[in-house]
Amino acid sequence: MSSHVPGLWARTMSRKCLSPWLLVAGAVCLPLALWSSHAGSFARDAEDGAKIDLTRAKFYGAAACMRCHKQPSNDWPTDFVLLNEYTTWRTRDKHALAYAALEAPRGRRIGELLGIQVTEDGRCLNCHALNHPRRTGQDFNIRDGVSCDACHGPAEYWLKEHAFDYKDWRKKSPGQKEARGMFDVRDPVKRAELCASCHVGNAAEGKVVTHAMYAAGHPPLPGFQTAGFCNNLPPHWRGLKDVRYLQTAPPEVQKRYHFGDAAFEQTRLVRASEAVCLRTMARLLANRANFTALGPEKHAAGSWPPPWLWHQATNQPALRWPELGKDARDPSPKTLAGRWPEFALAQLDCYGCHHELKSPGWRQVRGYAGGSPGRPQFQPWPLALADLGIPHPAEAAGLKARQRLLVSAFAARPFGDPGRVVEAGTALEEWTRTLKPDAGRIDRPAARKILRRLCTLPEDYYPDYDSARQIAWAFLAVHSDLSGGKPADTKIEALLTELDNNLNLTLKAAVRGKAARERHALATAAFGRALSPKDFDRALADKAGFLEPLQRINDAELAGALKSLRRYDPRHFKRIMSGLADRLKD
Amino acid sequence: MHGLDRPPRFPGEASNLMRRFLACLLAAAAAALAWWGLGPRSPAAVRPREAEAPGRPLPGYVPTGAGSCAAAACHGGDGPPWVKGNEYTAWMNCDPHRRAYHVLFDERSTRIIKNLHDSRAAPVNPLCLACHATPPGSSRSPCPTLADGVSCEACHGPAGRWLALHYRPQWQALSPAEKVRLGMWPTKDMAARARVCVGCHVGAAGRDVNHDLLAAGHPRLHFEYSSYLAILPKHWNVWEEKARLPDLEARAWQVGQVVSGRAALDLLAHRAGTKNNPWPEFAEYNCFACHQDLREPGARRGPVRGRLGALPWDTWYFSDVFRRELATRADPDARELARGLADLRREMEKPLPDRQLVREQARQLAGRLNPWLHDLEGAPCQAAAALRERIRTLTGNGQKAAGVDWDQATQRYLAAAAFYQAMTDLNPADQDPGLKAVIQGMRQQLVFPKGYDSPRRGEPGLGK
Repeated sequence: MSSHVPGLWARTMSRKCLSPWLLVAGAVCLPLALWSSHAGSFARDAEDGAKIDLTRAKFYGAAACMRCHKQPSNDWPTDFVLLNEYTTWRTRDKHALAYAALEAPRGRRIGELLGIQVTEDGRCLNCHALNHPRRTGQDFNIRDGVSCDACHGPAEYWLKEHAFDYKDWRKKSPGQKEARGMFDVRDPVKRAELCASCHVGNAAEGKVVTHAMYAAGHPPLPGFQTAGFCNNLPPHWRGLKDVRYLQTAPPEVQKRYHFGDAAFEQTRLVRASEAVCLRTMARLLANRANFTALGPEKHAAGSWPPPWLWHQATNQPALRWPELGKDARDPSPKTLAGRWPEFALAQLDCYGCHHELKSPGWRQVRGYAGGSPGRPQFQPWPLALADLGIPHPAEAAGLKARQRLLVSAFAARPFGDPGRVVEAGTALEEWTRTLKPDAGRIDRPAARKILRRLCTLPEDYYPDYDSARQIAWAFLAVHSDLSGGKPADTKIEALLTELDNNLNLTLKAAVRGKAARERHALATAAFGRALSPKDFDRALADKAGFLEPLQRINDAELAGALKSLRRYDPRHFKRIMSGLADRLKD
Repeated sequence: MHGLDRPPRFPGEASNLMRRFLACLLAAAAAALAWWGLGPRSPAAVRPREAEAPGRPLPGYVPTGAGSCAAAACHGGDGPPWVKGNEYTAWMNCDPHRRAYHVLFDERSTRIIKNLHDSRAAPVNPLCLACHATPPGSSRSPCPTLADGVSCEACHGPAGRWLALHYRPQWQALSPAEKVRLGMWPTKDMAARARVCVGCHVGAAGRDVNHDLLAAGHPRLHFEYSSYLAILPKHWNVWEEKARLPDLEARAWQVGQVVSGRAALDLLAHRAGTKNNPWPEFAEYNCFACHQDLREPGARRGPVRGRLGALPWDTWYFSDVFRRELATRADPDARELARGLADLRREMEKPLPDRQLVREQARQLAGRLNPWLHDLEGAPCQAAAALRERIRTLTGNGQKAAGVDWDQATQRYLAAAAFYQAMTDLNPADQDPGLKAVIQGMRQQLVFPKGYDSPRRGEPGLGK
């Protein structure tokens, strides 16, 4: 009897959630159900806790989380979590639509042009879904896209404990949780690393958007920043300082959740994100330009994401150079060197080439310090804040030297000299490892200093669109920490709104906000009546009712985003920032 | 006729010794010309290379400067530009080449030099002077002043050895080859004239406007002979010329395609074969394939010959009008040329084209253009009806061509405009306002939006 309980339970659970008494019944039978379905793995665990094989830990999928995290009830406390995380993710978060994007018209068209099955090809699935085909739990559904386990870790070895021993579970250290497979996403560095592996790219894990993919219609990857992006999800969690449980928790527990810096959580995210994105980009460049070291990637001790997450054959040629396609079997360094311009194109600054010509354009007015005109450079945005000495003024000289190396590697010849790119990229990556973005407390004077630096841009500094967004997102984050979310004076608010609309930064921006509202309405309509995983699956695959309208919304949003990019002029951006600087003086 | 070993006898030329000396000098000049790799039919080659500083002249290059042409009794008269004797005045007053050197002082040039991180200012920089001025001679011979820009001798040849001869009656008796040997270039010949232009306007070794220079701020070079010739303020009698060559406009277009193509291939061979040159050279590719803002919906151009995101190679000098023209020829060279161009294009559109292979292919193909040019010289005048038919093909009967990039659309328009002009020159009764409007409509679609140096979306017709 008990063996078929989980499936039945899942199908009826959402209805049960609506009735508290049924929920209690559910809560009683859940441990029984889980115990019975995973008796094998837990038995091994019970004999020897250290022997958990995380390389095989199963991803349970969103349906497993839906049971409790759909909507709050009186039976589970909400002093720590909100318990409506699933609903927020399902109806508002684009990650829930990552796989749908592949099935929607644009995804299909890209597949046709590239001659691949986008819904089956690892080159797409590695970012658009949880691509661990041999590690899926019973209710796992690939259509859920980038679902809970993707960021929180495969749930097999922690699902039970975190639900039914939640009081003990909360007190465990991040290390203890990670030993069972749960990620510490409250750690700003780890969170950023997790995001950056897709949003910047990771060649060892096969997460690379190639130039051919872009040419086939993949939207350009925008510059990434954890604080800005997390706020746009929108977050399905509380800001640290608003977690009631932590407000009264013992100091050692507070420390585990990084509660000490709660007041400057956003600022810390910015700082961590900056170091991590720089590191990820440098590693990506070095990895893709290295045609000799083809073996499995060496994981430094304590490296993150943990090697067990991607234990399966990392760093294979087919992952590192998705461009190779059929030629990926045993490519010679010479073959790879001949393809380098193609690899380089995927990593270069898109808008260095993709801009209409004006004379004099702002690039020519800006000049090509350290580089060479006419030789495309790597994407500049990961260095935007570092360029302003944020937040590592002490190490600025070390960074500048390595930055110059990388710039000259790309200026050496069109598309860059791969040998020198490996050298310079590795040096830059190593340098970012010396950074301790989460060390050192941030206080008001420190945050104010960062804020001032962000809006006092040097005269001869002409940030490109993505760099300007890095600066603007950082400004918004630090400003919100300092103001505690209270509105500033009307002049500042007006400038921030102008900045937001010009750079399409937050959910309040006209283009982004409209698309977010429309997507929310579409998802609510599509999933509102779904009760079981099967219902969701059906709704997600509905072409006329879901995928096509979704594509229309996404296309309109992309059109708006590209329009704001097209209209961008660094001189205008600098005027807004200097306006902010003027207002901040008083 | 006088042979090479027996130069013409002019008054004042006295002794046998002198004659022998002159003969030696001419032989040396001929040898020097041969040594530069281009025969006497490539006058454009007789110019200093980039590596050589201005002021270090090539042997045998003896210019005298525009001032030596400017006498009121010679070419500096004050009559209308098409009347003999007023050439210098016409050039001085109207010709843009006159200002070639002056632009080196403007803001754009300053910015270019700054962006190239070059320590030498534009007005003294050999990179710029190679095209923006007439190369000076040795310090002992009179120099054309830099300030004259691209002056008489840049196109007519260094006058040191013919200045004193060319106004004497005996000059008329000399064959064009003999004049070339003395250093005067046969600019009356369509192809020879085109060769002078392409030396700078397409580029050559030492006069290469590559992508580094473009990105620093230099305007793009996209030369088309017949249209450049048409807009050049003439200092000669064009009616007289058209009386000699009634289909001049169409002929210039054809000659221009071949001569420009040859120069483009020579330049490509030079770019590929010179180790210190950037490679791949982006200036070889279609500018607007990359240089367009990203948009949604995008152009969705699809793969370039099977490869997504590849750079399409020469859409300007070997556009579809060139290929169509080539297809009309039946000789084996033409077939080889068509095949060779396809091979070269395939190589050039690889992520990293093989330099040696490209150099070899480009060199071979350049040689295969010669018979074509030779045929064009002797070709009979074209018929107005045939030209009308070709315009029809080019204009697509007024239908807007789908999927044609700006380069190709512009080449089509320029060809159509040249043919129309030739058609009406041949037979003034052939004026066809409807057809003219269609051609003007083609032009409208090519205009860049205000403030831009590129068509919106990289496609013609979407600029408004």
